[in-house]
Amino acid sequence: METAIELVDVSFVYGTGTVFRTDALSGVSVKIAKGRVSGIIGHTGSGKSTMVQMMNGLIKPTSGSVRLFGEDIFADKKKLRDIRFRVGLVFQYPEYQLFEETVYKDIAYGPTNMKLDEKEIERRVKKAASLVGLDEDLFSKSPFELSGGQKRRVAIAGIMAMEPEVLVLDEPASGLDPVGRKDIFKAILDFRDATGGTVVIVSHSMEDMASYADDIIVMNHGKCFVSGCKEEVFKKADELCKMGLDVPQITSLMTRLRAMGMEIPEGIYTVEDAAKALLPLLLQKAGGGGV
Amino acid sequence: MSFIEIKDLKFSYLDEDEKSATVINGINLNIEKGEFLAILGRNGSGKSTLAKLMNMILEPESGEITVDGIKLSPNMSDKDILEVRKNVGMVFQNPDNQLVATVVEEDIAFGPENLGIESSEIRRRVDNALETVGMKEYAKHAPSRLSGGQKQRIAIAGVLAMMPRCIIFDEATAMLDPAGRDEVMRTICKLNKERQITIVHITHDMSEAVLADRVVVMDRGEIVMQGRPCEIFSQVEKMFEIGLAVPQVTELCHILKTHGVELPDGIITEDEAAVAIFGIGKGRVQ
Repeated sequence: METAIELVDVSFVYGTGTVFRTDALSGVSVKIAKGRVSGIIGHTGSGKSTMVQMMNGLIKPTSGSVRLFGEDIFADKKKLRDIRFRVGLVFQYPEYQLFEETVYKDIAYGPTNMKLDEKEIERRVKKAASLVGLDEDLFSKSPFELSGGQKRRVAIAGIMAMEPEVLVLDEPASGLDPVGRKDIFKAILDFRDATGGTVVIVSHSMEDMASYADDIIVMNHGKCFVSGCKEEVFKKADELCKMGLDVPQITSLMTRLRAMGMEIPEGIYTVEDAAKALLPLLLQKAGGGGV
Repeated sequence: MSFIEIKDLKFSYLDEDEKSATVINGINLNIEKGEFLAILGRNGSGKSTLAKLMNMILEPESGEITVDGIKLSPNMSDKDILEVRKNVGMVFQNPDNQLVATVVEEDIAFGPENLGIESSEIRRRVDNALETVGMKEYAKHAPSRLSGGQKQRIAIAGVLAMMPRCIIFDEATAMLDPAGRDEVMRTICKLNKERQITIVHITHDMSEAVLADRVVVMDRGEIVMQGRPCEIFSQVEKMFEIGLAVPQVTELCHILKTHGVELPDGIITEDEAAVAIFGIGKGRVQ
């Protein structure tokens, strides 16, 4: 599998020489596979946000290197601007950063900065809006007239319109209701499917990552605790629980039933899989024989 | 009489095209003294507007709200408005928008200072509030260096120092990480159980709503469901229809039941699910 972004032995220290000196990241090596959705989970202060800000060159590691398709992104300072177009970063609560007069102009802001021609900008704005499910009727409205969920989608569309090779999102669904969450994640997956791009999502919610990510990176105290496809990572449910991460309720229930003596396979993290595993056990007639 | 009584409440605002948009469309709701009430609903269903109407941040268009016997109205005296706001404290979503001072204890003293309370009493209240939210050792710290959960507990302490009888939490856990959410929820439960403070908790998190005595579900400005958490969450399909969710274990039990597994109704916690499922599984193995 081709690697889109690779962090090689990356460390980051801030507040050097003060009492607040903190090792935000120490010796982190991870690979983000091209065309996949990678979830980064971990506590506040585990280094997740530092890590994603490195991926588009906003933070330079104290040591180690960050590579985009094999190229060190900090090797040539002049190329950093270009890197930021290729790796689009959506911050937490991105709707706070909307500022243009109209929805159209806000989504067009990134592509305009890329010096694209009007026609290409229009194509991209329309495509991004349709990916996040925004009606074109809204284009002439002020972004501040929209609902919270719509504003969030405008902000995300603004980054998608740059058609980045890698789309990085920090907590894209926080504060949204269950349907709003689903809509946002669907838009992100649609972007991946439509462009073949790579997606990185920072999240606190293992339930969401269980549903939407292909790979998971677990960060703990500035180090990568485990990374791999989600099936592998969720096998360590017990350890993740001990780290204080909120393992999906379903995984925790399965772990518990297994400990009580029921024969349930490991690595169950969705309600559907749990039902599939439990039904044969619960529906067996007392005298044996399935349903 | 209930602590808060809401009768035929309506509220609408004008959008940019001067069109009237109804946000609260005829709500009737009584909140009892000492109750822990959770309000669920989609974004834009009117939850926050309802909260703001309960302590006079917004004025109703029609209908009536009574808080501890005081009827809210645009012509009420400043003294009564103050009394209502003292009685009904609010904690909002973003911890960074609610802290005003550079030292934790000064921040907590802000409310009682504005009420003109004498300084020895303020001292006593600040200490007491810090103790209640478990942040005593942070009295002299700068709020900016605290975690999200700690900041929210300081915001709660600031409200507590005004000695409210009710606190409304308007998505106060939405911006927190799991550890922070847990800290805040434990604090909320403690205030309710040990100090008998009435709690109104607006949230999108179903596992938080499970902790409440009663759940109210809002949709398009109306109350569409209310009852004990187990009664509400057993209506899995209806909740999905409204665009809300149920706890994962409840959804699992619902699926198992539709396939003929004889589980009891109203399973909403992991404990209940483990006991019920294991009970049936054990019977089958032998």
